[in-house]
Amino acid sequence: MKTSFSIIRTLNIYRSIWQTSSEWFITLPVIAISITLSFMIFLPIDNFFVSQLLTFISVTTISQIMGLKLIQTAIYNNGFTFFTIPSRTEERLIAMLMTLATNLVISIAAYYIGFILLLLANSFITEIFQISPFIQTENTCLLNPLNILSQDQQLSHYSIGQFICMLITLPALCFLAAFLCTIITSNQWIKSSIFMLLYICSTVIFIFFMRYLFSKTDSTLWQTIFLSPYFYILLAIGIISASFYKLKTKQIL
Amino acid sequence: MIQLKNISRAFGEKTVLKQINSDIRPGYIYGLLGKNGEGKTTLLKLICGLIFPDGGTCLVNGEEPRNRSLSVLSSIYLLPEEPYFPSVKVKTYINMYASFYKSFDKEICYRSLKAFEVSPESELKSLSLGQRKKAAIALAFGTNTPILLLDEPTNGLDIPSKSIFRQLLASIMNDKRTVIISTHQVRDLESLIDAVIILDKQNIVLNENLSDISKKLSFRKIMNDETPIYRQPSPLGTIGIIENTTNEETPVDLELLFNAVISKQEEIIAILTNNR
Amino acid sequence: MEFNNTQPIFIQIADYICSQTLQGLYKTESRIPSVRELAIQLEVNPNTVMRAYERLQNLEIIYNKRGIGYFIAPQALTQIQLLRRRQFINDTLPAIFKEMRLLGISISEIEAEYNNFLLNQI
Repeated sequence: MKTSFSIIRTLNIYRSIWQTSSEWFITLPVIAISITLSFMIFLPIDNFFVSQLLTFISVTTISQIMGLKLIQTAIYNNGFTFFTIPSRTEERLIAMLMTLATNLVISIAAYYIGFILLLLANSFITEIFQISPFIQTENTCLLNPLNILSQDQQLSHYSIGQFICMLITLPALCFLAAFLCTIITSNQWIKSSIFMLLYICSTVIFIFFMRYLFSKTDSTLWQTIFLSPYFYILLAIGIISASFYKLKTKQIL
Repeated sequence: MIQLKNISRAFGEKTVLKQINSDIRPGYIYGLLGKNGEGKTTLLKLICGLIFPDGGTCLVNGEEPRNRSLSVLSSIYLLPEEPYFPSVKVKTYINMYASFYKSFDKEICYRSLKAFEVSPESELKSLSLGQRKKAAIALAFGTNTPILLLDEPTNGLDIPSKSIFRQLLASIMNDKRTVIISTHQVRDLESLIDAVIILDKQNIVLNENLSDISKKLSFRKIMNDETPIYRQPSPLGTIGIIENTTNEETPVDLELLFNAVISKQEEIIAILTNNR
Repeated sequence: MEFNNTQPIFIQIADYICSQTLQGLYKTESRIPSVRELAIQLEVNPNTVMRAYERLQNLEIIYNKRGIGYFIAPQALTQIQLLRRRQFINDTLPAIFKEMRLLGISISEIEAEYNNFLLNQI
């Protein structure tokens, strides 16, 4: 007898993952905003855009690590309950992915809020105390990836679409791989190593991708495959399927 | 009904369960006895699908728990020895998990909380270990599942609470429910246990209801001229187990039975399986 | 209630109901606690109470009104006395007689002690 997928059950599982630490909704944004502020103020990089980017990446990565910690608690500390509550494996999987997604959304929102606060504080203090601004604000624009592309009017909508896809898929792939590792083992070292490895690979691939995007030459075969977002989307789907299978056969020793 | 067919399970080099064949029927409160590390918790985990057997099949109402189907999971609840507690209020903790069980009975749950004197408004992290355990017990009873697996439920409870636990368990027991209590504290629960499963040497060596046992074995003081199957010294003299040739029954002394089964397995089993 | 370890619990429960009846705490035709209620009260398995009630039903000390509960039978007092008498003669007396023979106490000594006992009761 197959019971059908239930959104309510999924939400309940999602809620139970979050409630392993009830202050999460406050802790996460606070940490995210603090990191944003401190990075932006103390990072000794002249290029404002680069420091924004680095901060953004750090905040989102840290939030995902925190999210994975929640999932780790659910599987390994609370495993007896997590795997015996009447629910389908798909529901468990989606609840966990929702946790990661929510973490991401909160951290991005916190990042932007932190950034706006910083700009406000910057102009406020500059006016009151008549000192030079501690942040160079000539080129201030809130991190907007499309700005990079708008510089080159020749880029087609398709290219822009590909760019956005890669921007989302590559990091997502790193997080999903770490997620799969969390399901398979509670060993932190393996998870961190794989994550770092994929992170570095993603950065390299992204650099190649950007060069490919702006070059006008014809693409080679391997460029078409490995620099196409479709490939990475397929990989992501593969990792999610592997996660499902591993979750279904997970034993709590 | 829970059926164990040729179940084997090892952890690395160590075989914990080997070729176990047994049925566990509803309507009884089973005491699951065994020495430390002999596989009691492993057996409970196999029944609720947390781990899978290396060989053989486990069937709960005809389905394998390893598939974690909703019908199996809805009919079992496992209360582990050390449950995990989130940092929330008692009532939040209860509502969090109650929503998954269609059979959840709010009245039983809150009646249990009240009997244990645990307030639903308390924060779990501000409660003592014993009080948290009581909240977990209240949730377990509240789920009202046909199969209830309790791993050392009275550990950590003070003496009055053990009494309340017994009353609550007596109040939820019926002939369609199976309760399996894995415990070392047999004295706490002797009046409630009416069937016993003994695990020894990677096998279930005994799975009987106490009424049948007391018809065939007597548990009492041993006279000098008698040859009991098993004896041990006690403040009252030598007590032991002797074949029951009379129509009188004595209450089954679970500690005595356990010790006897561990040391004189063949003799005990021979008498119990006699005239089946 | 404390249970001894010489008699099965269900028999001790049955005896308890009998004692309560003899003392007049359970009156004839009055309702006694349900299986579940008594199990909770005594902290025992409901199956055990069930066995006790079955025994009492067989001895015609209680009867069951379907859907309502268990009641003390009208002939309960007589039945209990019969039962106790039988237990005394079949179980208690032989043990006393054994002791008497061992210690060489005669039946006339017992009679004298019994008369003494009755006098002291007044």
